Amino acid sequence: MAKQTVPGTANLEAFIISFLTFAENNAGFAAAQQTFADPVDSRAVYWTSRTTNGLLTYWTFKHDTNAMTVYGDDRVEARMMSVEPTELNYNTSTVGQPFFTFMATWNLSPPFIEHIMYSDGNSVFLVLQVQSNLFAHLCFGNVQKVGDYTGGEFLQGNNFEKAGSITPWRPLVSGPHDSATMIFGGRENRATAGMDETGRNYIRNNISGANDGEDYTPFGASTVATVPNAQGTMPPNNSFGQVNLQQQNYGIGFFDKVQNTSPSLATQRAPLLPVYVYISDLSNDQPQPAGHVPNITSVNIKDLSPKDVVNTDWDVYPLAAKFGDTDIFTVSENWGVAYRNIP
Amino acid sequence: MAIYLATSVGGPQLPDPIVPDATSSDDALDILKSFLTGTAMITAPNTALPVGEQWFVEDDDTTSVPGERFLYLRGPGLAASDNIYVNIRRFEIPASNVISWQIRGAEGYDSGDTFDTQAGSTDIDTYLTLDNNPTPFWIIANGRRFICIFKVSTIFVALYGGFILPYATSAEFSYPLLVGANTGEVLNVFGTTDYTMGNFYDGPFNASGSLIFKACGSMRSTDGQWRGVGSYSGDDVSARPTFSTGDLNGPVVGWPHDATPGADDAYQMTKNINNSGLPGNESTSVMPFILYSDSPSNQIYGEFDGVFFTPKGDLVTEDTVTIGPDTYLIIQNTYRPTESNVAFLLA
Repeated sequence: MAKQTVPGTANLEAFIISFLTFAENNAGFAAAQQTFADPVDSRAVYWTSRTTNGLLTYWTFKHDTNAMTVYGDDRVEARMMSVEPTELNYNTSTVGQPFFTFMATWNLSPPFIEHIMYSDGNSVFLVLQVQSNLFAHLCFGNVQKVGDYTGGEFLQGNNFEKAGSITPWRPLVSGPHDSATMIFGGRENRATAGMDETGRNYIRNNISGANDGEDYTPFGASTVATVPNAQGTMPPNNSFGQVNLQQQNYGIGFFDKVQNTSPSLATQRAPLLPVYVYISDLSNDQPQPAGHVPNITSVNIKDLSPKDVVNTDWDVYPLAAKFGDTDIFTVSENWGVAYRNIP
Repeated sequence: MAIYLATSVGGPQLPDPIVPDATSSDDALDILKSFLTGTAMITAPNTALPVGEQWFVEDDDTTSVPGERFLYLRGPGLAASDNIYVNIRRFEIPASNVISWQIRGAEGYDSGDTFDTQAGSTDIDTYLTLDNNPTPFWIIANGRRFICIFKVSTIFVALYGGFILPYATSAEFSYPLLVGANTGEVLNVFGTTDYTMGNFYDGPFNASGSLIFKACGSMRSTDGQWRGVGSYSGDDVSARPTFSTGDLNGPVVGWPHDATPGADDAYQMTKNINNSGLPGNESTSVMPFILYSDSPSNQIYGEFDGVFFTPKGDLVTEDTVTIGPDTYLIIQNTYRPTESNVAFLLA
């Protein structure tokens, strides 16, 4: 287990370079590569790779600034791929995630305060402190699989939405977030065309066996996936609309309910709820257990503050900001995440 | 503020149905008593309770009420620092073919008090429906709690007596006692097949006004009050009733069930989780039952100790599954072979 705090993050590209080095040093990822520029915007694409259980997966990261209508225009654009990334295949949907994963920063200008990196040797969890009370999250690695299916690699980021083309940013808990993504949670996006419309979070699962884009399962919350992939969720409820790290208010879900019930009025305690991963089957749309992601949990932070340390070695953060001005960023109220920091 | 996420522990157990089977509900109580007190003859693969975790018998009363038996147990906890009072009454109502145990938790024991009047005793009625025919059953126990699973004909009923794993320190939640069985109806028999039957992790409760008076279980809350445990209303006539919300004093709900009208849909979803796993994967997963209450609001208590939710999938009752170092016994809920299972941690 490792934790590293890097103050004064100059920009998102510096953030990428920093965490790729951290991933190499602490989680067995390959040394970061930068071999090409995205032909769309000429921005540098960095990538790393790792083989687990005989399966080689590539993770790409780029500082992206293409304008999006209801999302931030400044973000980390990321993708898992099945083949080595090149300028020719980077925007080709069949060799990796059909859609990019995004970690956006609300159009706020760097430098950022700092970034904090965690790794248990298996996954890398990243927190970018954008402002004093505002945090962005990104993580990648492997789930602790249930069984021995081929896959388990994941890539997750937070990408929140505005009410329209201008602010305010929709409040996370009570707002109608139809397409926001959140690490191990959020809405399964409904983008129907293009790889960069809204972004998605994914887990790799070699469903088709073809080692193609269908082997990347989007995480989220829609009953009907708009791509031929199976759908990841964790754990599902009656409408497939809820996930474990339930930051939205789409109704009643499993962990949503118990998190809403915490902290206890009697003890002021809130549980650290573990992340379970489910993937639905193409044939019957039934969710099946796919694994567990250790060393990250959801937590209600009603009685907690950002960066509090709880239960000895768990660092607590808001999903975005516990409070603040929605004209500037997303307010996530009491929805929090905790990362384990074991020396 | 520190946060604690409990992790269940297993414990010594009788992992195989005891041979010979319990020949009667009274014999079953003898077996439970001998196992908890360390006097049972234990043969492999069964394991015995460590001496420091063995329970004490405050009284085994077979005379005060003709035809009934009262077993008053006291658990020492894991470090001989607790006094955990769980009382069992065995009785029969021949006219209704009832052969049952009743279970109550209490805060102490006084030989001058009755089963109903022990200090701090729950007044919520909870029963375990049994039979006097040979009955295989399993016991899983430690110094904090014991769990029994009975296979009565084709019905699986379960009993829980002792502490949960609280999300709190002992100072904040000093006596997290929960007792549970499979019905709140005294006249139910093991073959009853309706909404009034359901094991403590997914069973009914009945309320009158703001009070729950019978349920599949009860838990002594952080405020010292007993609250009913239940996942759906036992007053409803539908096959899978939804919750009655309002100002009920409880119930204590075991996630993944949900104290909201329509929550049976959520239950249906968990029921539909396919346990056969992803292609090429015949594995399963287990999840804790998280105990919480919406009424009063914002009460989250902890987890059952050693009892887990597992999706139905391809598992059938009496299967065992191994996840990492842990082995679980899979049991259906009472008479319901088509719904979600529960997994009991054996070791």
